[in-house]
Formats: sequence, C-alpha cells, structure tokens
Amino acid sequence: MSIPSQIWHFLGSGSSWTGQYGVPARLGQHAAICAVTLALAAVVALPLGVGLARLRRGGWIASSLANAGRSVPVLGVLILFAVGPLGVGTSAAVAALVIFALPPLVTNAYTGIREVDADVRLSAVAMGMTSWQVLWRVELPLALPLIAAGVRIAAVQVWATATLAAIVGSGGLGRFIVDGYAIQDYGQVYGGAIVVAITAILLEGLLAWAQRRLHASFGGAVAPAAEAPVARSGTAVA
Amino acid sequence: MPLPADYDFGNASNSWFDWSYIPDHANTILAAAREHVVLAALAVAIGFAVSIPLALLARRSRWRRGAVLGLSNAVYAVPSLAAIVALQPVFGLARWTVVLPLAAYTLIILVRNILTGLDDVPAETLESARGMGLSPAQVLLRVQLPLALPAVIAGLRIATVSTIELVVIGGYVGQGGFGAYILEGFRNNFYKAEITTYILLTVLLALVADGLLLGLQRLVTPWQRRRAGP
Repeated sequence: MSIPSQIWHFLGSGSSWTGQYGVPARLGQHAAICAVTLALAAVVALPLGVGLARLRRGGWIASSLANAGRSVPVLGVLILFAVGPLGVGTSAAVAALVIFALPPLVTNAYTGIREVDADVRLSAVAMGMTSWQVLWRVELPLALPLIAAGVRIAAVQVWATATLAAIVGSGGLGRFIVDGYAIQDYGQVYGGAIVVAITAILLEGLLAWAQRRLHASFGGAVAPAAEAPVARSGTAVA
Repeated sequence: MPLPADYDFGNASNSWFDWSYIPDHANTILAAAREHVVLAALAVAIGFAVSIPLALLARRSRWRRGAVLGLSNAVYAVPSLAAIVALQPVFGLARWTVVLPLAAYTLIILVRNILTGLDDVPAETLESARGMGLSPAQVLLRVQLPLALPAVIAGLRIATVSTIELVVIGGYVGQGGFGAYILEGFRNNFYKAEITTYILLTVLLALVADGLLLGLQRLVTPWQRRRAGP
C-alpha cells in the first residue's frame, strides 16, 4: 500500500477517531500536558523575570538562562528525568518541558519591565505611588504585550515539543508517531504528524490573533511602543 | 560464581556519571562528535543558503515580507520528531532525513536576522554607494551585506546552537550524532552514565560552536570592536 493511501486509511478509519487511543483522546492528553507545563512554568518564570528586571543587575541571569535553554537538548533531559526518580511517564515529560518553557517567559517578562520608559516610572513615583503600586499599575500593564508575546512563543514551543513526551511513555499526540514508527505503520506516523502540525499551526494563529486583540484593547498608547520589542525578543528567543 | 548476598541489582554500576566512560569509549565519542558536527553544519549551511534569497525576496514588498515570515513561522511549528520520522521512509538512512527538517527550522531565525541587518543599513549610505556608481549587485555585496554582518552572525549563532541541540532528536531514527547514543542509553536498560555523558557533550559542542562564531564575528567586523558585545 502506498504511503498516501496508508495516510488516507489511518485518517479515514473510524477507530482513529474514537476510544482511548483515538485522535480526540490523544489531543486532550496533549492539551493537558501543555496546559500544566505552561501553568507551572509561568508561576516560576513570570515572578522571576519581573524580579530580575527590578533588580537591575539581573540582565546576565536572564540572558544566560536563555542561552542555556537553547543549548541543552530537550530530548536528553526528558530521558534523563525518565530514568531518574520521576520514572517513565507524564511527570518526567512535564518536568522536562517546564524547564524549556522558562527561557522565553523569563526573558520577555524581563525585557517588558525593562522597556518601560524611565520618565513614566518617574512620574508614577512623583505622584506618590509606592513601589508595589508602580509595579501593579504602571510597569505590569505596560509590559503586558511583551509578556503575552513570551507566553505565545512558549505555548507554541511546548505544543510542538510535547510530541517528544511519547518517547518516554507519556500520552499525547506524539503517541501516533512513536507507536506507528515502532510497527512501521507509516499511515499512523504521517497521520499523527499531520494532526500535530495542523494543531500547532492553528495554535500559533490563534495566539497571534489573541495577542493582536490584547494590543488593540490596551489602546494606541501602548501598541506602537511595544511593536518593535516584540519582534526583537521574538528573534532572540525563538 | 555466586554473587555476594548484599548484591544490589537495581543500582549495580549504574551511576549518573562515570569519568571512565569517556576513555573507554573514546573512538565512539569521536565518531559521534564528527557525525553531530556534519549534520549540524549541513543543516545551518543549507538554511543560510536558502535564507539569503528569501530575505531579499521579502524586502521587495509588504505582502512578500508577510508571506516569507509567515512561512518560516509555520515551518517552525511542525514538531521536529514528526518531520524526521516522516522523512525516514523517503530518505532512509541518508543524512537528509535529519538535515532537511533542521535546515528548515533555521529559517525563522536566519531570515529575520538577515532582514533586520539589511533594514538597518541607513538610506544615505545606500544613496552614496549608488552615487559612487556601484551596480545593484555591488551595492548588495560590498555595502549592504557587510553592514548587515553583525545581525547575520548573531542569527547564525542562535541557529547553530539550536541546531546542535535539535540534532539529538535524529537519534530517534538511529542518526543524530550524540543523540543516537542518548537514545541507545535509554533503550539499553537506562544506562545513565551514557545518557549524561552525551548530553554534556552536546552542550559542550554548542558552547564551542557559539564561541567560534563569536570569534568570527569579531574578526570580520573590526569596526565594531570598540563597542563589541554579545
């Protein structure tokens, strides 16, 4: 059977779309892994990035974190966690994915706070705001577009990388690729690859749209200033 | 020979790291390093060769720019494991199975940085180059590209480090330099020392490559040396 007809066979058969091994079930597992990963990473990374920015000497920590994140192999850490105390399965996968979701979140939160105009900060202080008020009412709202860009980059990255979780025995969309490859069922491999790729591109599009809406609702005053840094940090972080 | 009564099967000689692993497997490590470098170098070289015409195309109009950047974003969203496993029946054990997807992933960084570098060349500089009678090709080769070099090399550094990291995933299909041995250690009763050694070697290789490119950047942009930075 040729590969296109194998793919057709996989995507066309009812059993691919129902039950605990079907696409909807795997999609649900994949989304759950990504949501938990992103939530855990955000809880760690956002306060860290904001804190480093307010320290004013945290720049090298933020940039070396980003560099380390790029050079450490995700699959290696995934496997290292799986052979360690966490054991094979979803928790090892989530732990490894969290580490790799940190750099874009930390660097964008850091850059977002640092890019706030010094004059704006000064006038807030002159108005009598305390340090916390400056953070909550001035710095964070102004940094929001860049923080959102970091979340978008991290989310798309985690969605694509979570495919690797199947290698260490976790669920998710990667299962079709790993299981199909194991029995040389290329219909399943390609079918799974197509589903992961399409959902990843849809997620990217959806988050890009959400980010534009965020820009729009935060008014013209914020959007133009935030436009350049978004492109710049996007380059640095990708 | 009977084993001692307190023999621990679970932990027997499976430490997280073992210095003796390196001299004991020196030849394997060197061969894997060579393969890792070849795969990463091919991917970055092909990605770079494709990025230059793409960046030049993107500068021609707004919609072309959107199309080129959108395409490189979309390609980046495809998971590497999916791309590599999907190419396996097409190329088999040829290096293209790993090299082509990784080359495609470099576009998101390289095209953007080449564009940024070219966009930042001041209009007056281009005007005077044309005024001196340089042809469009000469303006590109002698003025625009040299001035864009810092941004281009910055992009190459990020692309190279990311690619060296991604080559590991090729290990899943039995290729991928160090990656093949990380996977081997996983499948081989969780041989931790093997896994850890090849992870550290991957990081080391990435750092060395990054340092070499930084040196290259300092070398080819001497005018930047006074305000040089990473």
